[in-house]
Amino acid sequence: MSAGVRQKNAWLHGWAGLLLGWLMFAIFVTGTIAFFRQEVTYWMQPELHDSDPGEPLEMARMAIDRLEHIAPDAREWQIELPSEREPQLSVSWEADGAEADSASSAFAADRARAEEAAAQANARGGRPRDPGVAVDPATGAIIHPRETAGGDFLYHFHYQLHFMSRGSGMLLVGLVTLAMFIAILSGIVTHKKIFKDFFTFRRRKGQRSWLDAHNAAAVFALPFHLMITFSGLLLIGGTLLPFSGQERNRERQGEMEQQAPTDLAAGSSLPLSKILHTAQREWSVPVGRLSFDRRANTVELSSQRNDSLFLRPGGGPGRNLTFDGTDGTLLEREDNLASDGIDRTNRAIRALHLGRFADWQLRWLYFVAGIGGTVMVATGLVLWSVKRAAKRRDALIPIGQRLAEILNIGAVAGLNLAIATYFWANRLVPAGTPNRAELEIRLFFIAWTVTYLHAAARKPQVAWVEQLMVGGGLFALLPILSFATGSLWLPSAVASGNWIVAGFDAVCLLTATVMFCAARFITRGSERDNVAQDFPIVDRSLVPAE
Amino acid sequence: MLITMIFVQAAGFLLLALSQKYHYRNLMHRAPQSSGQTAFRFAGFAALAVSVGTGLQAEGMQFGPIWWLASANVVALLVLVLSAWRAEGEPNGR
Repeated sequence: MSAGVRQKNAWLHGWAGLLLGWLMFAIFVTGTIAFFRQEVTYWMQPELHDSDPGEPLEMARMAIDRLEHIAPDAREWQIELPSEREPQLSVSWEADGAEADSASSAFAADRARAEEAAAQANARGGRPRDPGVAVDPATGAIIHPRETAGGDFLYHFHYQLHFMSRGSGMLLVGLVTLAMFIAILSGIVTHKKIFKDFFTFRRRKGQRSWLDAHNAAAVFALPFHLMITFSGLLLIGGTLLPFSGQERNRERQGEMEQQAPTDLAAGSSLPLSKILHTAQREWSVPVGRLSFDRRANTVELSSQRNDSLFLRPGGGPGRNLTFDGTDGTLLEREDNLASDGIDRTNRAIRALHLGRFADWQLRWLYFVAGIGGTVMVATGLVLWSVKRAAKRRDALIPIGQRLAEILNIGAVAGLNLAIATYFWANRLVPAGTPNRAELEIRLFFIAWTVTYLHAAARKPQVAWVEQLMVGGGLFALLPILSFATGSLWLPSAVASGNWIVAGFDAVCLLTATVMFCAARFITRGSERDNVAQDFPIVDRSLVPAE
Repeated sequence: MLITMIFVQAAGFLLLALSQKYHYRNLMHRAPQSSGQTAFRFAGFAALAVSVGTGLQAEGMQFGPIWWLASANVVALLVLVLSAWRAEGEPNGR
């Protein structure tokens, strides 16, 4: 390949990377956390941490028992069984047909509360959710976890941003994704020794070290980076189109309204263990949801996650089984498999992005690959500054470079600090505060804004170190704060096998360590810089004139 | 099965690193023999091929490749860290 082509690609790589790199970093960070969005939401509702989920059969029995009591007149019941990712039992019901003075009305307040929370969550974006009510698996009592946007906020942010309409958010994210795709492709062309330098990391070599880190993060997870950006583009394009799934539901509802009301089937007569056994035999994955149509006396079981890339990847499970409510015979098996090659390709690409098929081991590997992406973008951003700083050591700092530096600090160190603030707010804002989910989100953005102001007010190196130290401190103390405000303590979470809380706390401690190390690295670099100027993370000439 | 895949994959990447003079010096702290390079490279690629087979057998045609790539990311990173770490003991790492 001629040097000219490589140079043009390097130019394209640098500018495509920089101009949308700040947003790209935020998308990568929040998107990576979104692989664990249900787990994050669970962590953010400590009211749920005390209850241990039991066996599916036992849980389903208890839920039916509760529903008989709570909503005897409801046309439909839904039970969400505890899963690896959401270890709580929840129930919901469709009470439209019920009499106003029936027993259901005693629990109408619970239902209304859940519906209001769901309406607020739906207004923030994403697919409409069914408002469920959490049930304590041990006692059967209804639990009211605190209102929070949880991991869903970070998940929604990563494809539709915030403070703007869903459409413009997605358009902007689409543009960033396109720039990312271009940056990756041109980066491959620019990389001179992709095989020779495959395992190479040269320490303490200034710009060289940054480039090695950037290359390693990019090359090792290259298949992931290509997949995630390309499928991201496809998903953004696809979500702008109307959902076919929603239309289907509306049709089904219409059909039901036309049906004449008949007697409602009792849940207690259902041969539950037979049904669950049949489902276990038919599928390789656990049962996630049971939906009762009490007028037709059928129960539909949905799988917890997909076991094929060609099943419908989002908007509901890919496999369903419908049973007769009296004798438990299998009436219908529905597998939403792709029909042709194009559909299969389309679904597989989307499924790969969402990663909902992944068990916990693979989910962690997805998470690590996502971290690789964030490291790639962050080192790329820093490199851009380091490179230009190295060229001019004396003269005035151009306003553009100073601006890029400020944005780098706020986008990289500041975002981590803001996310830590979001989790702190979750534990510190009292559980009963009205509109507290929105308040948590506000505090996140306030913290993030402050980091940009701080970066503008301080010298770059000082700003980096201070933000990394504060952010690291917040993450390091988070497990302690969590324990002090009523959740589990890390050792007891491990002891009781609550791996979500234990994993979350462990990741916080690890994040803190990485941030402290980065801060120390920069401090050491600047000390050495005073002597030999061999390693500037940021050239000292970038410091505002005093 | 998956564990086997990961170990064979790690062996493959390590052998590939050893096939390069720079990393051989880092990892072994001595100069490589000129004849060893090709053998290491061949063995490395062979091990990677075997690990692909193991992954496919363990997780199937759909999830096998995903598993292989996802673990390759971590395993290759470990080899990089190992080489960079070992290089420090050597006064003339290059």
